[in-house]
Amino acid sequence: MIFLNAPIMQDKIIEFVNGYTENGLTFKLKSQKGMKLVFETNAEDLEAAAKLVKNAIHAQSWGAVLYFQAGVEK
Amino acid sequence: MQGLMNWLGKSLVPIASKIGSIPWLVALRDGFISTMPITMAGSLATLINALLVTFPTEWKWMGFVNSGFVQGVVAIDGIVSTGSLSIFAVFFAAMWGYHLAKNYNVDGLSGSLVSLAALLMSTNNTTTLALADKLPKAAVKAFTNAGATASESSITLNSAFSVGNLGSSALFSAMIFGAIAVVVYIFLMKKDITIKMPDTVPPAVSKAFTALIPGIAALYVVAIINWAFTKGTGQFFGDWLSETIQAPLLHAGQSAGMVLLVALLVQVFWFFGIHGPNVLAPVLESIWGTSQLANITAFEKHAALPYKWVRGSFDAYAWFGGSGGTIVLLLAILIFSKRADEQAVAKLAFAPGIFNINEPVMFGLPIVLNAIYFAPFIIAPVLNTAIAYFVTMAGWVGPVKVAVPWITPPVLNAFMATLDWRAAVLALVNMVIAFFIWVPFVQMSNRVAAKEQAAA
Repeated sequence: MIFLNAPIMQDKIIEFVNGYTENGLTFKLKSQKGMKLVFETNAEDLEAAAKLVKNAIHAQSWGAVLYFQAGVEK
Repeated sequence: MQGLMNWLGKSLVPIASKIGSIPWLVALRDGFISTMPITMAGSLATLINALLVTFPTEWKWMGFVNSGFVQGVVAIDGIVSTGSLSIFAVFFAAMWGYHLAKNYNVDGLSGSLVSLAALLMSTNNTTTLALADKLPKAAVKAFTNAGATASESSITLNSAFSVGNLGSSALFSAMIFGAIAVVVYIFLMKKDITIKMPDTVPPAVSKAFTALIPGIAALYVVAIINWAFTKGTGQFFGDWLSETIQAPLLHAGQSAGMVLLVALLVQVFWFFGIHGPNVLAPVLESIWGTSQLANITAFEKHAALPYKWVRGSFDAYAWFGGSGGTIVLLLAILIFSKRADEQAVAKLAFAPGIFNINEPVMFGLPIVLNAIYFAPFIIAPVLNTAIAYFVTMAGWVGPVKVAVPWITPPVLNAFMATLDWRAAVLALVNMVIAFFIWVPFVQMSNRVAAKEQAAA
Protein backbone atom coordinates (compact mmCIF):
# COMPACT_ATOMS: atom_id res chain seq x y z
CA MET A 1 0.00 0.00 0.00
CA ILE A 2 1.07 3.55 -0.58
CA PHE A 3 -0.09 6.73 1.14
CA LEU A 4 -0.52 10.33 0.10
CA ASN A 5 -0.66 13.12 2.68
CA ALA A 6 -2.68 15.65 0.75
CA PRO A 7 -4.43 18.48 2.58
CA ILE A 8 -6.41 19.81 -0.38
CA MET A 9 -8.09 18.58 -3.56
CA GLN A 10 -8.52 15.14 -2.09
CA ASP A 11 -11.55 14.28 -4.24
CA LYS A 12 -9.66 15.08 -7.39
CA ILE A 13 -6.61 13.13 -6.25
CA ILE A 14 -8.70 10.08 -5.32
CA GLU A 15 -10.52 10.15 -8.65
CA PHE A 16 -7.23 10.48 -10.53
CA VAL A 17 -5.28 7.82 -8.62
CA ASN A 18 -8.17 5.33 -8.65
CA GLY A 19 -8.27 5.56 -12.42
CA TYR A 20 -4.51 5.74 -12.92
CA THR A 21 -2.84 2.82 -14.69
CA GLU A 22 0.78 2.75 -15.78
CA ASN A 23 2.67 -0.36 -16.92
CA GLY A 24 -0.15 -2.53 -15.60
CA LEU A 25 -0.11 -0.94 -12.14
CA THR A 26 -3.45 -0.22 -10.50
CA PHE A 27 -4.41 1.79 -7.42
CA LYS A 28 -7.55 1.76 -5.30
CA LEU A 29 -8.42 3.93 -2.32
CA LYS A 30 -8.32 1.85 0.85
CA SER A 31 -8.81 4.47 3.53
CA GLN A 32 -9.11 8.23 4.02
CA LYS A 33 -8.38 9.83 7.35
CA GLY A 34 -7.69 13.53 7.69
CA MET A 35 -5.18 14.41 5.03
CA LYS A 36 -3.94 10.84 4.71
CA LEU A 37 -5.11 8.80 1.74
CA VAL A 38 -4.05 5.14 1.59
CA PHE A 39 -4.18 3.26 -1.70
CA GLU A 40 -3.92 -0.44 -2.39
CA THR A 41 -1.77 -1.30 -5.36
CA ASN A 42 -0.55 -4.35 -7.23
CA ALA A 43 2.94 -2.76 -7.51
CA GLU A 44 5.85 -4.78 -6.17
CA ASP A 45 8.18 -1.82 -5.78
CA LEU A 46 6.07 0.37 -3.52
CA GLU A 47 8.62 3.19 -3.25
CA ALA A 48 8.69 3.48 -7.03
CA ALA A 49 4.89 3.32 -7.20
CA ALA A 50 4.54 6.15 -4.67
CA LYS A 51 7.00 8.25 -6.66
CA LEU A 52 5.20 7.44 -9.90
CA VAL A 53 1.84 8.54 -8.52
CA LYS A 54 3.33 11.73 -7.06
CA ASN A 55 4.93 12.66 -10.38
CA ALA A 56 1.74 11.80 -12.26
CA ILE A 57 -0.31 14.12 -10.03
CA HIS A 58 2.24 16.91 -10.39
CA ALA A 59 2.08 16.49 -14.15
CA GLN A 60 -1.64 17.39 -14.14
CA SER A 61 -2.58 21.01 -14.69
CA TRP A 62 -4.48 21.05 -11.38
CA GLY A 63 -1.75 19.13 -9.54
CA ALA A 64 1.34 21.13 -10.45
CA VAL A 65 0.99 23.47 -7.49
CA LEU A 66 -0.03 20.90 -4.90
CA TYR A 67 2.29 20.25 -2.00
CA PHE A 68 1.81 16.73 -0.70
CA GLN A 69 3.76 13.76 0.53
CA ALA A 70 3.81 10.29 -1.00
CA GLY A 71 5.30 7.23 0.61
CA VAL A 72 4.99 3.55 1.45
CA GLU A 73 2.35 2.65 4.02
CA LYS A 74 3.88 0.37 6.65
CA MET B 1 -7.73 30.82 14.62
CA GLN B 2 -9.78 28.01 13.11
CA GLY B 3 -12.12 30.62 11.58
CA LEU B 4 -9.19 32.46 9.98
CA MET B 5 -7.81 29.18 8.65
CA ASN B 6 -11.18 28.22 7.20
CA TRP B 7 -11.59 31.61 5.59
CA LEU B 8 -8.11 31.52 4.04
CA GLY B 9 -8.65 27.97 2.89
CA LYS B 10 -11.91 28.85 1.19
CA SER B 11 -10.91 32.18 -0.34
CA LEU B 12 -7.20 32.10 -1.08
CA VAL B 13 -6.45 28.49 -1.87
CA PRO B 14 -8.82 28.13 -4.84
CA ILE B 15 -7.36 31.32 -6.34
CA ALA B 16 -3.81 30.05 -5.85
CA SER B 17 -4.53 26.70 -7.35
CA LYS B 18 -6.27 28.41 -10.33
CA ILE B 19 -3.27 30.71 -10.84
CA GLY B 20 -0.94 27.77 -10.58
CA SER B 21 -2.65 25.95 -13.38
CA ILE B 22 -2.75 28.79 -15.93
CA PRO B 23 -0.64 27.46 -18.84
CA TRP B 24 1.01 30.85 -19.39
CA LEU B 25 2.20 31.15 -15.83
CA VAL B 26 3.22 27.51 -15.69
CA ALA B 27 5.30 28.09 -18.85
CA LEU B 28 6.88 31.20 -17.34
CA ARG B 29 7.78 29.31 -14.18
CA ASP B 30 9.13 26.31 -16.10
CA GLY B 31 11.00 28.64 -18.45
CA PHE B 32 12.93 30.10 -15.55
CA ILE B 33 13.44 26.73 -13.86
CA SER B 34 14.79 25.17 -17.08
CA THR B 35 17.56 27.74 -17.24
CA MET B 36 18.96 26.68 -13.87
CA PRO B 37 22.09 24.96 -15.32
CA ILE B 38 22.93 28.22 -17.09
CA THR B 39 22.38 30.35 -13.99
CA MET B 40 24.35 27.99 -11.80
CA ALA B 41 27.26 27.69 -14.24
CA GLY B 42 27.52 31.48 -14.49
CA SER B 43 27.22 31.84 -10.74
CA LEU B 44 29.85 29.22 -10.08
CA ALA B 45 32.25 31.08 -12.38
CA THR B 46 31.53 34.29 -10.45
CA LEU B 47 31.99 32.55 -7.12
CA ILE B 48 35.30 30.96 -8.14
CA ASN B 49 36.58 34.32 -9.37
CA ALA B 50 35.56 35.94 -6.10
CA LEU B 51 37.34 33.29 -4.05
CA LEU B 52 40.48 33.33 -6.19
CA VAL B 53 40.68 37.03 -7.00
CA THR B 54 38.38 39.35 -5.04
CA PHE B 55 39.23 38.16 -1.52
CA PRO B 56 42.95 37.51 -2.16
CA THR B 57 43.22 40.99 -3.73
CA GLU B 58 41.67 42.50 -0.58
CA TRP B 59 44.22 40.59 1.46
CA LYS B 60 46.96 41.81 -0.93
CA TRP B 61 47.98 38.30 -2.02
CA MET B 62 48.95 39.66 -5.42
CA GLY B 63 51.51 36.93 -6.11
CA PHE B 64 48.72 34.37 -5.83
CA VAL B 65 46.24 36.46 -7.83
CA ASN B 66 48.73 37.01 -10.66
CA SER B 67 49.88 33.40 -10.79
CA GLY B 68 49.44 31.52 -14.05
CA PHE B 69 47.02 29.09 -12.43
CA VAL B 70 44.67 31.76 -11.08
CA GLN B 71 44.78 33.80 -14.29
CA GLY B 72 44.02 30.64 -16.29
CA VAL B 73 41.03 29.84 -14.08
CA VAL B 74 39.81 33.45 -14.36
CA ALA B 75 40.04 33.25 -18.16
CA ILE B 76 38.04 30.01 -18.22
CA ASP B 77 35.44 31.52 -15.85
CA GLY B 78 35.16 34.50 -18.19
CA ILE B 79 34.34 32.20 -21.09
CA VAL B 80 31.72 30.34 -19.00
CA SER B 81 30.15 33.57 -17.82
CA THR B 82 30.01 35.21 -21.27
CA GLY B 83 28.36 32.14 -22.73
CA SER B 84 25.84 31.74 -19.92
CA LEU B 85 24.72 34.51 -17.55
CA SER B 86 25.80 37.41 -19.76
CA ILE B 87 23.34 36.32 -22.47
CA PHE B 88 20.75 34.87 -20.12
CA ALA B 89 17.77 36.29 -22.05
CA VAL B 90 18.68 34.10 -25.03
CA PHE B 91 18.35 30.92 -22.98
CA PHE B 92 15.24 32.13 -21.24
CA ALA B 93 13.57 33.05 -24.56
CA ALA B 94 14.23 29.55 -25.90
CA MET B 95 12.86 27.85 -22.77
CA TRP B 96 9.86 30.18 -22.47
CA GLY B 97 8.83 29.49 -26.07
CA TYR B 98 9.36 25.78 -25.60
CA HIS B 99 7.17 25.48 -22.51
CA LEU B 100 4.50 27.83 -23.80
CA ALA B 101 4.10 25.86 -27.03
CA LYS B 102 4.24 22.54 -25.19
CA ASN B 103 1.57 23.62 -22.70
CA TYR B 104 -0.75 24.21 -25.65
CA ASN B 105 0.18 20.83 -27.18
CA VAL B 106 2.16 22.34 -30.03
CA ASP B 107 5.72 21.35 -31.02
CA GLY B 108 7.92 22.80 -28.29
CA LEU B 109 11.12 22.98 -30.31
CA SER B 110 9.53 25.17 -32.98
CA GLY B 111 8.00 27.35 -30.26
CA SER B 112 11.45 27.70 -28.76
CA LEU B 113 13.00 28.83 -32.05
CA VAL B 114 10.19 31.29 -32.77
CA SER B 115 10.52 32.82 -29.30
CA LEU B 116 14.29 33.13 -29.62
CA ALA B 117 14.01 34.81 -33.02
CA ALA B 118 11.39 37.20 -31.60
CA LEU B 119 13.81 38.27 -28.86
CA LEU B 120 16.61 38.93 -31.31
CA MET B 121 14.27 40.95 -33.53
CA SER B 122 13.35 43.26 -30.68
CA THR B 123 16.89 43.67 -29.36
CA ASN B 124 19.10 46.59 -30.26
CA ASN B 125 21.51 45.11 -32.79
CA THR B 126 23.94 47.98 -32.82
CA THR B 127 26.91 48.43 -30.53
CA THR B 128 28.11 51.93 -29.79
CA LEU B 129 31.56 52.66 -28.46
CA ALA B 130 31.81 56.05 -26.77
CA LEU B 131 35.32 57.45 -27.27
CA ALA B 132 37.18 59.40 -24.64
CA ASP B 133 39.57 60.86 -27.22
CA LYS B 134 38.58 62.66 -30.40
CA LEU B 135 38.71 60.38 -33.47
CA PRO B 136 40.77 61.79 -36.39
CA LYS B 137 38.76 62.56 -39.56
CA ALA B 138 40.63 59.91 -41.54
CA ALA B 139 39.70 57.28 -38.97
CA VAL B 140 36.03 58.40 -39.06
CA LYS B 141 36.07 57.95 -42.82
CA ALA B 142 37.78 54.56 -42.56
CA PHE B 143 35.18 53.29 -40.07
CA THR B 144 32.34 54.69 -42.21
CA ASN B 145 33.72 52.99 -45.29
CA ALA B 146 33.90 49.73 -43.35
CA GLY B 147 30.13 49.96 -42.67
CA ALA B 148 30.12 51.53 -39.20
CA THR B 149 28.41 54.79 -38.23
CA ALA B 150 31.28 56.89 -36.95
CA SER B 151 31.73 60.38 -35.61
CA GLU B 152 34.56 62.08 -33.76
CA SER B 153 33.17 60.93 -30.39
CA SER B 154 31.66 57.51 -31.09
CA ILE B 155 31.63 54.50 -33.35
CA THR B 156 28.44 52.53 -33.88
CA LEU B 157 28.77 49.02 -35.26
CA ASN B 158 25.65 47.95 -37.14
CA SER B 159 24.32 44.38 -37.07
CA ALA B 160 26.41 43.70 -33.98
CA PHE B 161 24.53 42.47 -30.93
CA SER B 162 26.11 43.64 -27.73
CA VAL B 163 26.35 40.90 -25.08
CA GLY B 164 25.10 43.49 -22.61
CA ASN B 165 21.81 43.78 -24.52
CA LEU B 166 21.06 40.07 -24.20
CA GLY B 167 21.47 39.74 -20.45
CA SER B 168 18.97 40.27 -17.67
CA SER B 169 17.94 43.66 -19.09
CA ALA B 170 16.36 41.88 -22.08
CA LEU B 171 14.22 39.48 -20.05
CA PHE B 172 10.99 41.42 -20.41
CA SER B 173 11.56 41.70 -24.18
CA ALA B 174 12.03 37.93 -24.23
CA MET B 175 8.78 37.47 -22.28
CA ILE B 176 6.65 39.87 -24.30
CA PHE B 177 7.88 39.21 -27.82
CA GLY B 178 8.31 35.51 -27.15
CA ALA B 179 4.68 35.43 -26.04
CA ILE B 180 3.43 37.37 -29.09
CA ALA B 181 5.34 35.17 -31.53
CA VAL B 182 4.42 31.88 -29.88
CA VAL B 183 0.75 32.86 -29.57
CA VAL B 184 0.58 33.56 -33.31
CA TYR B 185 2.40 30.31 -33.92
CA ILE B 186 0.07 28.30 -31.67
CA PHE B 187 -3.03 29.96 -33.14
CA LEU B 188 -2.10 29.06 -36.72
CA MET B 189 -1.05 25.55 -35.74
CA LYS B 190 -4.36 25.00 -33.95
CA LYS B 191 -6.25 26.39 -36.96
CA ASP B 192 -4.29 23.91 -39.05
CA ILE B 193 -2.99 26.61 -41.38
CA THR B 194 0.01 24.50 -42.25
CA ILE B 195 1.70 22.77 -45.17
CA LYS B 196 0.86 19.09 -45.15
CA MET B 197 3.40 16.63 -46.48
CA PRO B 198 2.64 13.11 -47.72
CA ASP B 199 3.18 10.21 -45.30
CA THR B 200 6.25 9.09 -47.22
CA VAL B 201 8.18 12.19 -46.07
CA PRO B 202 10.38 11.53 -42.96
CA PRO B 203 8.76 12.85 -39.74
CA ALA B 204 11.54 15.40 -39.05
CA VAL B 205 11.11 16.97 -42.51
CA SER B 206 7.33 16.83 -42.25
CA LYS B 207 7.43 18.55 -38.84
CA ALA B 208 9.61 21.35 -40.20
CA PHE B 209 7.22 21.96 -43.11
CA THR B 210 4.21 21.92 -40.79
CA ALA B 211 5.81 24.70 -38.76
CA LEU B 212 6.68 26.75 -41.83
CA ILE B 213 3.61 28.99 -42.28
CA PRO B 214 2.90 29.52 -38.55
CA GLY B 215 6.59 30.21 -37.91
CA ILE B 216 6.97 32.72 -40.73
CA ALA B 217 3.72 34.47 -39.80
CA ALA B 218 4.76 34.69 -36.14
CA LEU B 219 8.10 36.25 -36.94
CA TYR B 220 6.60 38.70 -39.43
CA VAL B 221 4.10 39.89 -36.83
CA VAL B 222 6.96 40.57 -34.40
CA ALA B 223 9.06 42.18 -37.12
CA ILE B 224 6.20 44.52 -38.17
CA ILE B 225 5.60 45.59 -34.55
CA ASN B 226 9.31 46.31 -34.07
CA TRP B 227 9.65 48.08 -37.40
CA ALA B 228 6.63 50.31 -36.69
CA PHE B 229 7.90 51.12 -33.21
CA THR B 230 11.40 51.98 -34.34
CA LYS B 231 9.98 54.03 -37.23
CA GLY B 232 7.70 55.94 -34.90
CA THR B 233 10.04 56.49 -31.98
CA GLY B 234 13.54 56.06 -33.36
CA GLN B 235 14.22 53.57 -30.59
CA PHE B 236 14.45 49.79 -30.44
CA PHE B 237 11.39 48.27 -28.77
CA GLY B 238 13.62 46.16 -26.54
CA ASP B 239 15.46 49.22 -25.22
CA TRP B 240 12.17 50.97 -24.54
CA LEU B 241 10.73 47.95 -22.70
CA SER B 242 13.85 47.66 -20.60
CA GLU B 243 13.80 51.32 -19.59
CA THR B 244 10.05 51.94 -19.31
CA ILE B 245 8.59 48.66 -18.10
CA GLN B 246 11.29 46.40 -16.71
CA ALA B 247 13.37 48.86 -14.71
CA PRO B 248 10.41 50.46 -12.84
CA LEU B 249 8.90 47.04 -12.11
CA LEU B 250 12.18 45.75 -10.70
CA HIS B 251 12.51 48.85 -8.58
CA ALA B 252 8.96 48.33 -7.32
CA GLY B 253 10.17 44.90 -6.22
CA GLN B 254 12.55 46.67 -3.84
CA SER B 255 9.66 48.01 -1.79
CA ALA B 256 9.07 46.55 1.68
CA GLY B 257 5.37 46.05 0.91
CA MET B 258 5.98 43.78 -2.08
CA VAL B 259 8.76 41.81 -0.38
CA LEU B 260 6.71 41.18 2.75
CA LEU B 261 3.53 40.38 0.83
CA VAL B 262 5.32 37.66 -1.11
CA ALA B 263 6.93 36.30 2.08
CA LEU B 264 3.47 36.15 3.67
CA LEU B 265 1.71 34.56 0.69
CA VAL B 266 4.35 31.85 0.30
CA GLN B 267 3.82 30.79 3.92
CA VAL B 268 0.04 30.83 3.68
CA PHE B 269 0.13 28.72 0.52
CA TRP B 270 2.51 26.17 2.06
CA PHE B 271 0.32 25.88 5.12
CA PHE B 272 -2.68 24.89 3.02
CA GLY B 273 -0.76 22.35 0.95
CA ILE B 274 0.05 24.52 -2.03
CA HIS B 275 3.60 24.88 -3.24
CA GLY B 276 4.05 28.59 -2.47
CA PRO B 277 7.19 29.36 -4.46
CA ASN B 278 5.76 27.39 -7.40
CA VAL B 279 2.54 29.40 -7.50
CA LEU B 280 4.41 32.66 -7.09
CA ALA B 281 7.33 31.68 -9.32
CA PRO B 282 6.19 33.90 -12.22
CA VAL B 283 6.39 36.91 -9.88
CA LEU B 284 9.36 35.73 -7.83
CA GLU B 285 11.48 34.95 -10.87
CA SER B 286 10.33 37.79 -13.14
CA ILE B 287 11.01 40.43 -10.53
CA TRP B 288 13.50 39.18 -7.93
CA GLY B 289 15.09 36.52 -10.15
CA THR B 290 15.78 39.15 -12.80
CA SER B 291 17.14 41.52 -10.14
CA GLN B 292 19.44 38.76 -8.92
CA LEU B 293 20.77 38.17 -12.44
CA ALA B 294 21.44 41.88 -12.77
CA ASN B 295 23.36 41.77 -9.47
CA ILE B 296 25.41 38.75 -10.50
CA THR B 297 26.27 40.35 -13.85
CA ALA B 298 27.21 43.64 -12.16
CA PHE B 299 29.34 41.86 -9.55
CA GLU B 300 31.17 39.97 -12.26
CA LYS B 301 31.97 43.28 -13.95
CA HIS B 302 33.06 44.82 -10.62
CA ALA B 303 30.21 47.35 -11.01
CA ALA B 304 27.86 48.63 -8.29
CA LEU B 305 25.06 46.16 -7.52
CA PRO B 306 21.77 47.59 -8.81
CA TYR B 307 19.40 45.80 -6.39
CA LYS B 308 19.46 45.08 -2.67
CA TRP B 309 16.67 42.52 -2.27
CA VAL B 310 16.68 39.69 -4.80
CA ARG B 311 15.40 36.15 -5.18
CA GLY B 312 18.20 34.55 -3.13
CA SER B 313 17.58 36.93 -0.22
CA PHE B 314 14.45 34.96 0.75
CA ASP B 315 16.41 31.69 0.84
CA ALA B 316 19.31 33.20 2.75
CA TYR B 317 17.40 34.93 5.52
CA ALA B 318 13.91 33.47 5.88
CA TRP B 319 13.57 29.99 4.41
CA PHE B 320 16.35 28.22 6.31
CA GLY B 321 15.70 24.51 6.65
CA GLY B 322 12.89 24.96 4.12
CA SER B 323 10.01 27.43 4.00
CA GLY B 324 8.92 28.44 7.47
CA GLY B 325 12.46 28.29 8.87
CA THR B 326 11.55 24.81 10.12
CA ILE B 327 15.10 23.80 11.02
CA VAL B 328 14.78 25.90 14.18
CA LEU B 329 11.41 24.31 14.93
CA LEU B 330 13.18 20.95 14.90
CA LEU B 331 15.75 22.31 17.34
CA ALA B 332 12.99 23.69 19.55
CA ILE B 333 11.29 20.29 19.57
CA LEU B 334 14.52 18.43 20.33
CA ILE B 335 15.21 20.73 23.28
CA PHE B 336 11.74 21.46 24.69
CA SER B 337 9.23 18.88 23.50
CA LYS B 338 8.39 15.91 25.67
CA ARG B 339 6.16 14.39 23.01
CA ALA B 340 7.65 11.14 21.72
CA ASP B 341 5.97 11.53 18.33
CA GLU B 342 7.37 15.05 17.81
CA GLN B 343 10.82 13.97 19.01
CA ALA B 344 10.79 11.07 16.54
CA VAL B 345 9.79 13.33 13.64
CA ALA B 346 12.39 15.95 14.61
CA LYS B 347 15.20 13.36 14.72
CA LEU B 348 14.12 11.96 11.36
CA ALA B 349 13.65 15.36 9.73
CA PHE B 350 16.80 17.05 11.01
CA ALA B 351 19.27 15.69 8.43
CA PRO B 352 17.12 16.62 5.39
CA GLY B 353 16.35 19.93 7.13
CA ILE B 354 20.02 20.89 7.04
CA PHE B 355 19.66 20.82 3.27
CA ASN B 356 16.40 22.80 3.39
CA ILE B 357 14.17 19.79 2.70
CA ASN B 358 11.28 19.97 5.14
CA GLU B 359 8.65 17.66 3.73
CA PRO B 360 9.09 15.15 6.58
CA VAL B 361 8.37 17.81 9.21
CA MET B 362 5.64 19.57 7.18
CA PHE B 363 3.63 16.34 6.93
CA GLY B 364 5.13 14.29 9.74
CA LEU B 365 4.47 16.68 12.59
CA PRO B 366 2.37 17.92 10.77
CA ILE B 367 2.60 21.66 10.21
CA VAL B 368 0.26 21.67 7.23
CA LEU B 369 -3.28 22.44 8.42
CA ASN B 370 -2.14 22.28 12.08
CA ALA B 371 -3.81 25.19 13.89
CA ILE B 372 -1.18 25.20 16.69
CA TYR B 373 1.69 25.82 14.31
CA PHE B 374 -0.14 28.20 11.94
CA ALA B 375 0.92 31.40 13.72
CA PRO B 376 4.69 30.74 14.07
CA PHE B 377 4.85 29.24 10.59
CA ILE B 378 3.51 32.51 9.19
CA ILE B 379 5.04 35.01 11.64
CA ALA B 380 8.65 33.74 11.87
CA PRO B 381 9.56 33.90 8.16
CA VAL B 382 7.73 37.20 7.62
CA LEU B 383 9.50 38.75 10.61
CA ASN B 384 12.83 37.31 9.45
CA THR B 385 12.23 38.76 5.99
CA ALA B 386 11.37 42.15 7.49
CA ILE B 387 14.52 42.20 9.63
CA ALA B 388 16.79 41.08 6.79
CA TYR B 389 15.11 43.53 4.42
CA PHE B 390 15.73 46.55 6.62
CA VAL B 391 19.28 45.46 7.50
CA THR B 392 20.09 44.94 3.82
CA MET B 393 18.46 48.21 2.77
CA ALA B 394 20.42 50.02 5.48
CA GLY B 395 23.59 48.65 3.88
CA TRP B 396 24.67 46.71 6.99
CA VAL B 397 25.03 43.55 4.92
CA GLY B 398 25.87 43.22 1.24
CA PRO B 399 23.11 42.21 -1.19
CA VAL B 400 22.96 38.75 -2.74
CA LYS B 401 25.25 38.62 -5.77
CA VAL B 402 25.76 34.90 -6.38
CA ALA B 403 23.06 32.30 -7.13
CA VAL B 404 23.35 29.50 -4.62
CA PRO B 405 21.55 26.13 -4.94
CA TRP B 406 18.58 26.07 -2.58
CA ILE B 407 19.87 22.92 -0.87
CA THR B 408 22.88 24.83 0.50
CA PRO B 409 22.70 24.66 4.32
CA PRO B 410 21.49 27.71 6.26
CA VAL B 411 24.07 30.39 7.21
CA LEU B 412 26.50 28.98 4.61
CA ASN B 413 23.85 29.89 2.02
CA ALA B 414 23.79 33.50 3.22
CA PHE B 415 27.58 33.76 3.16
CA MET B 416 28.00 32.17 -0.27
CA ALA B 417 25.21 34.25 -1.79
CA THR B 418 26.56 37.55 -0.52
CA LEU B 419 30.26 36.76 0.07
CA ASP B 420 29.79 38.86 3.19
CA TRP B 421 30.39 37.36 6.66
CA ARG B 422 27.87 39.81 8.12
CA ALA B 423 25.15 38.09 6.08
CA ALA B 424 25.99 34.80 7.79
CA VAL B 425 25.65 36.56 11.16
CA LEU B 426 22.31 38.04 10.08
CA ALA B 427 21.06 34.58 9.06
CA LEU B 428 22.16 33.22 12.42
CA VAL B 429 20.44 36.06 14.32
CA ASN B 430 17.26 35.43 12.30
CA MET B 431 17.44 31.76 13.19
CA VAL B 432 17.70 32.60 16.90
CA ILE B 433 14.69 34.95 16.62
CA ALA B 434 12.68 32.31 14.75
CA PHE B 435 13.68 29.76 17.39
CA PHE B 436 12.19 31.89 20.16
CA ILE B 437 9.02 32.41 18.12
CA TRP B 438 8.60 28.63 17.71
CA VAL B 439 9.38 27.64 21.33
CA PRO B 440 6.07 28.73 22.99
CA PHE B 441 4.09 26.93 20.32
CA VAL B 442 6.08 23.73 20.82
CA GLN B 443 5.27 23.98 24.52
CA MET B 444 1.62 24.67 23.68
CA SER B 445 1.56 21.59 21.48
CA ASN B 446 2.89 19.59 24.47
CA ARG B 447 0.17 20.98 26.76
CA VAL B 448 -2.57 20.21 24.23
CA ALA B 449 -1.29 16.64 23.79
CA ALA B 450 -1.12 16.17 27.57
CA LYS B 451 -4.71 17.44 27.94
CA GLU B 452 -5.93 15.15 25.18
CA GLN B 453 -4.15 12.22 26.80
CA ALA B 454 -5.68 13.02 30.19
CA ALA B 455 -9.15 13.33 28.64
CA ALA B 456 -8.73 9.97 26.92
